[in-house]
Amino acid sequence: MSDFFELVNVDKSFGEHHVVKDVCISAKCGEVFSLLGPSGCGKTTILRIAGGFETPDSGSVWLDGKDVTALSPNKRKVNTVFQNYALFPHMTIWDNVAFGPRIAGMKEAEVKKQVGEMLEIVRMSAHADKRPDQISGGQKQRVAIVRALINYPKLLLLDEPLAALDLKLRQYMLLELDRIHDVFGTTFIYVTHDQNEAMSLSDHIAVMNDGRIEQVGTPAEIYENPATKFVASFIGDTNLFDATVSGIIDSEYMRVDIAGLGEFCAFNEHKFPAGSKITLSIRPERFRIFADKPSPMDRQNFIKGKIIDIIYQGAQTRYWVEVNGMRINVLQQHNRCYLDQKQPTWNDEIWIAWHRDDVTTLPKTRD
Amino acid sequence: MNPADTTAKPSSLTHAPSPIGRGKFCEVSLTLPSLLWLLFFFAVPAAMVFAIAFKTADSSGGIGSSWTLETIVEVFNFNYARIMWRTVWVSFAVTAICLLLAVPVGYWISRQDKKYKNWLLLLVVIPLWTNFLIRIFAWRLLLHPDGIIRTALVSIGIIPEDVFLLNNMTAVIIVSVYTHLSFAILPIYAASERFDFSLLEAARDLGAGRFRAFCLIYLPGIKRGIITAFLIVFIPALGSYAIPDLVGGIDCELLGNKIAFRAMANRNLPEAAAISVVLACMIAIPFIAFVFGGGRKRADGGARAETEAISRQ
Ligand SMILES: Nc1ncnc2c1ncn2[C@@H]1O[C@H](COP(=O)(O)OP(=O)(O)O)[C@@H](O)[C@H]1O
Ligand SMILES: [Mg+2]
Repeated sequence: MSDFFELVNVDKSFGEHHVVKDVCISAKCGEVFSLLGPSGCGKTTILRIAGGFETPDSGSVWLDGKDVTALSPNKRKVNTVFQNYALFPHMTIWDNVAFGPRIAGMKEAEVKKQVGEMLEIVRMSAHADKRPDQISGGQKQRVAIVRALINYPKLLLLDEPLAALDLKLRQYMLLELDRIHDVFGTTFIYVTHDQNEAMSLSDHIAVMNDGRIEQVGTPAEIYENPATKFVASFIGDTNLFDATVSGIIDSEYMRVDIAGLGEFCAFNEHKFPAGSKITLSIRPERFRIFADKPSPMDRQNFIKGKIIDIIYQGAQTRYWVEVNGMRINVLQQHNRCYLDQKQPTWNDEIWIAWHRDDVTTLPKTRD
Repeated sequence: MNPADTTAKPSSLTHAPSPIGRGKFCEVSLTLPSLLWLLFFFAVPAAMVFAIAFKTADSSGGIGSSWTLETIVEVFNFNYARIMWRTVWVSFAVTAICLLLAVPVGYWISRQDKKYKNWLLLLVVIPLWTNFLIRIFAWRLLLHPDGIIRTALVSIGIIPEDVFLLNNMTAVIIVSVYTHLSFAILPIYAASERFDFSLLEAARDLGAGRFRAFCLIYLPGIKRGIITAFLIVFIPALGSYAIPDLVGGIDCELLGNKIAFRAMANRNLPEAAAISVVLACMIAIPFIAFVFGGGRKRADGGARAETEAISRQ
């Protein structure tokens, strides 16, 4: 299937400020596509370009096979859920939802039927006559979503829709969004700085940094195989090490020399030749802690360290382990097997081990 | 404060006035000066004018000692009705033109870069630094049959040779609009400054064109500014007398001129007072209607909306 929504080589500057740099993304029909990146990296600007509120300096926007770059917002079959919801304060919830159909010239009887159905879907029928300042944030959110979806857009743009809600409500609305997406099947472009939101909702994620797309992939691809140092550290926790390839073991594995720690084995996914300067990423949950030096295990690396901090997190415990002045973040799940062991405490000398396949290698080109 | 509380508290605290008592005292002591000010400089003179309207005139230009209804009945004769009607429509015309000009200007200024806003606002208020009468005289020069405006317009052919701009209703309206425009722009600008312009984008997003978004979202959004601007132009326009006097013609007499004439030329204070009372009622009735209308709306909008509206002012 060809791509349904595409940005092709989009560039945008505000004065001297180069905000969007040669961005290419493409989303398939019906999927949830997330733009994930820290605040200020240009996500909203990209969304505004998709919605027609900004024109790109160069590049083009394609929707359903048509170039819509020059189309004004009211002419695009695209609707937006704004970050602050932008509900019309002088109108009731009902009139807010009815706004789009009425503008489109729909007959009042049909408007009535559709608005009723929409409010039913998001369980807001009881609040139809209230004004936006009389309902809660989560309710505003739901109204904003159906106010957009009632127009049956080809594309729904959501700009950090959950950012203003508290944690519990955020988790609830995440499920709610998933359900609404299932009901409508509309293509969602979802902007967020929260990796959990992006991970749990998206079919594909584009990770952005400083106006650039760093990597596009499924949530698993992005977590398991980050393409850059930025992606590795932005998505989940990780430990990053500067290293040099000191030798090639076979067609799959290599020896790496991590400055300050010593030599280890790692999977050589990108076929680096000996002598390459690379960055290694090891996720905290991939380490295992041993009280005594483990007997040499198949394909495992291990090293001795000292526990300098312990953070109990209920389902898991996070340890900060110091090795030769370097702090390593280690996460242990509280499964039975782990809890039955003697728990390490502060200043314990312990060993940490990791499998050579659990090391992700990143070329040391861009930071 | 209930007695159980008093006994339970350390003695030093029982001497302190209760929070409620102190709050009331504060409220009264803070509002008292302005209440007194209003009483002496507004309520008392207004009551005096109202009373004088029902007094007889004495021949020496003072106020007679007996009471009469005749003067106020006199105000409702045909001659006054014509002038009253003229006053109302001129005021409405001036207000409407002011609003039509002030809304786009207020919108435009509030959309400008912060750096320029204050300069633009300064330009709006600069005319107010010059004396009102001097500015009207300046307009006399501008609108004079040989003045630059008319000669220019005639030479480009916009107005025919036999149209004059001075000493007629056109002049009264032009100059009134000019005098009141600044006062209309300011509240509309202030409301526009508080307006959330992302709402216009939301309207455009939902399919509204620029003009529809402006009418359906922006205008209701700055409703309070528009109402303030309306009152701030309409009320003084109803009472204006210097402008029709200086740039108007024979048919331009407004109620304000009648009042001035009765009070100063005729020295008939009761008659001047009677016209003033009628004029005051003309202003007060729509105003009261607005306040009550607004009040009813707020009641069904819920208490929260009301506090919101109040805190926004
Ligand atoms: N209209 C604008 N004029 C000038 N700079 C802007 C404008 N809009 C956004 N920016 C700048 O562009 C950068 C990216 O902004 P934005 O797209 O809002 O980022 P994000 O949504 O990822 O937080 C920011 O540094 C912001 O200051
Ligand atoms: Mg943003």
